[in-house]
Amino acid sequence: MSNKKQGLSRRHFLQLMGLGAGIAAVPIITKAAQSRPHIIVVGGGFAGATAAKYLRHWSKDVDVTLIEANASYQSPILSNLILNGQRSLKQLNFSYDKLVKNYGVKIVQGNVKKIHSGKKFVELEEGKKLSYDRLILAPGIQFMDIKGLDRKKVLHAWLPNNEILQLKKQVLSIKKEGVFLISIPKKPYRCPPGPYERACVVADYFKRNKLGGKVIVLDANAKVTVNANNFMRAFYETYKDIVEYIPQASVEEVDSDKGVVVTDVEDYRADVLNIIPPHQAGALIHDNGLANDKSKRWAAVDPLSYESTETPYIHIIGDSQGTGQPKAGHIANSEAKICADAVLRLLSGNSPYYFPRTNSACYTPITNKTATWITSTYAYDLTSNKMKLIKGSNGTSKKPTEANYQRMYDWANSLFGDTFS
Amino acid sequence: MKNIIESSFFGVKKQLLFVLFLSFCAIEGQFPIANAQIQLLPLASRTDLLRTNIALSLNGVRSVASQCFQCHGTNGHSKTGIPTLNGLSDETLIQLISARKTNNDADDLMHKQAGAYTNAEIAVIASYISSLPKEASE
Ligand SMILES: Cc1cc2nc3c(=O)[nH]c(=O)nc-3n(C[C@H](O)[C@H](O)[C@H](O)COP(=O)(O)OP(=O)(O)OC[C@H]3O[C@@H](n4cnc5c(N)ncnc54)[C@H](O)[C@@H]3O)c2cc1C
Repeated sequence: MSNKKQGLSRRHFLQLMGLGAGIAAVPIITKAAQSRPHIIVVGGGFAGATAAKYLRHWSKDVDVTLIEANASYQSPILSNLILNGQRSLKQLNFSYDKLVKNYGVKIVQGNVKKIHSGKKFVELEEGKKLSYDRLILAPGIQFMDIKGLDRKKVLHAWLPNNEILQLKKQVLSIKKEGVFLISIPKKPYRCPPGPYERACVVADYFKRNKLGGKVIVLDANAKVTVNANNFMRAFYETYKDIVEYIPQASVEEVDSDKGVVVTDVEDYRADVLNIIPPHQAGALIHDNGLANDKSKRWAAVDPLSYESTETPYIHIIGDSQGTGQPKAGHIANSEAKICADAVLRLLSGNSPYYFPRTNSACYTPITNKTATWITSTYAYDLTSNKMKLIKGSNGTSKKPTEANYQRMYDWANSLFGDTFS
Repeated sequence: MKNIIESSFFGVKKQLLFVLFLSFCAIEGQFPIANAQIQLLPLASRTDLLRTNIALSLNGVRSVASQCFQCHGTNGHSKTGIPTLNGLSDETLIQLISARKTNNDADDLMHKQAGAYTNAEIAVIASYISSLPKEASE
């Protein structure tokens, strides 16, 4: 008898305690005699893919269906490097196969149109209906209109698709002394350093190919919104003959054929326009009455669970949610884990963990050999019911370095792995 | 908020046996293990179990510790040049993370990250990660 007991390995004990699979202290979901809880995740970007994966990573007692419009995901992260020839889209393309194979996530390719929150089911474009116990929405962003902007001619390349390849073609068509213009909307927008990063890599391409020419950066914000020291040094030193940075210039109208941008300050003409319009939560959020924050652009959620403050059993993560945390892929993954943990707790009759942490980290290329980084960490604040920046946790690298350029690939590949495989 | 974490963490440390007893009561229905049987375990397993219970009592640990995985890989299994955390003892993890917290290298992103967590939080994160299965998840 006692032999057997003594033979209990640490592993066995951990398993007995539900820890073997990394399920620390979250009771096994009991929904006796009922069917297994079904969680639907809509949108397979950094937020949705992570949520689907971690729900199943942490619990085999739930079924998870990920509904995604596209067959695979083209990561916006690192996609600027396609413009200066440092990455290919193939390297940034991720299928959902590993979520199926490694975690047993069910994938449905389709477009969710309508949410029936009363009877708890979603309806796809082609009429298919799927019911849920909990619904997690991660549809990313949609753009707002700008007068005269024809998005077929003037590209944003700001969504997870292959538009960046078309933008690259346009950039490659720029002749000597040509002009590229990028416009940045007012905060909040997706990926705070992203537009400045894009200006840098296009300038890098101009500089290395001795094109002369100009990269005009029209910023609707009063100043560079993030990592300002490194970007200002890039604009005024590294690319001083190429980049022209114009703050407080809000795009009011675009002549998509003539390549002219009208701002509240002045008009600008360029050979290639790259207008990033202001954005808001994905159409799915707006069409289903979930964009209820103060600005009516984003979805207000409880930061402990990411549950909508509008409609119960619906959680919203990633760029669509309105907690005020940065709209970025690294932190979208971060939010997804908080949400997955909370959903599993809620399904087992517990409350969400009361002290969640999220973090944002991002490496930004400045040239084809150097990069900088930015990071910040957030904690839940009970008095304001908000995720608050932890004092001193935000920072940037002092200057762009080659070491950081290598770390950039490690960071991105790790994030891709933690999200999609 | 930080105080709650600190105090419950240290509180738990003093009451380890009690917590241990409670958790065994909780699972007794499923797994008939008597409290006394813990005594039959080799000392090493017993300490492991005690550590596990620190993590267990602070049950937010899964959502907090997984915040490391964006960079260090799922369950701390890194597949890139970023160090693997999985398989390291909690002592080693605490040492490594604390060193990054104190070492003020201006070009170290991890210095900023580590600095965002209290020592008590670092201890529970370390305890959780060291309790994860060692084999790769793929
Ligand atoms: C150039 C660029 C560089 C960037 N660099 C970084 C960086 O270095 N670091 C960083 O952290 N972030 C970066 N970002 C930001 C990051 O890409 C986004 O913040 C992130 O993709 C947001 O994730 P998400 O899951 O919320 O949305 P998305 O990634 O946009 O995913 C949404 C998904 O939902 C699907 N979908 C939408 N509606 C429906 C529907 N109704 N039915 C079914 N499917 C639907 C879409 O097809 C899409 O796949 C960058 C962005 C850009 C544009």
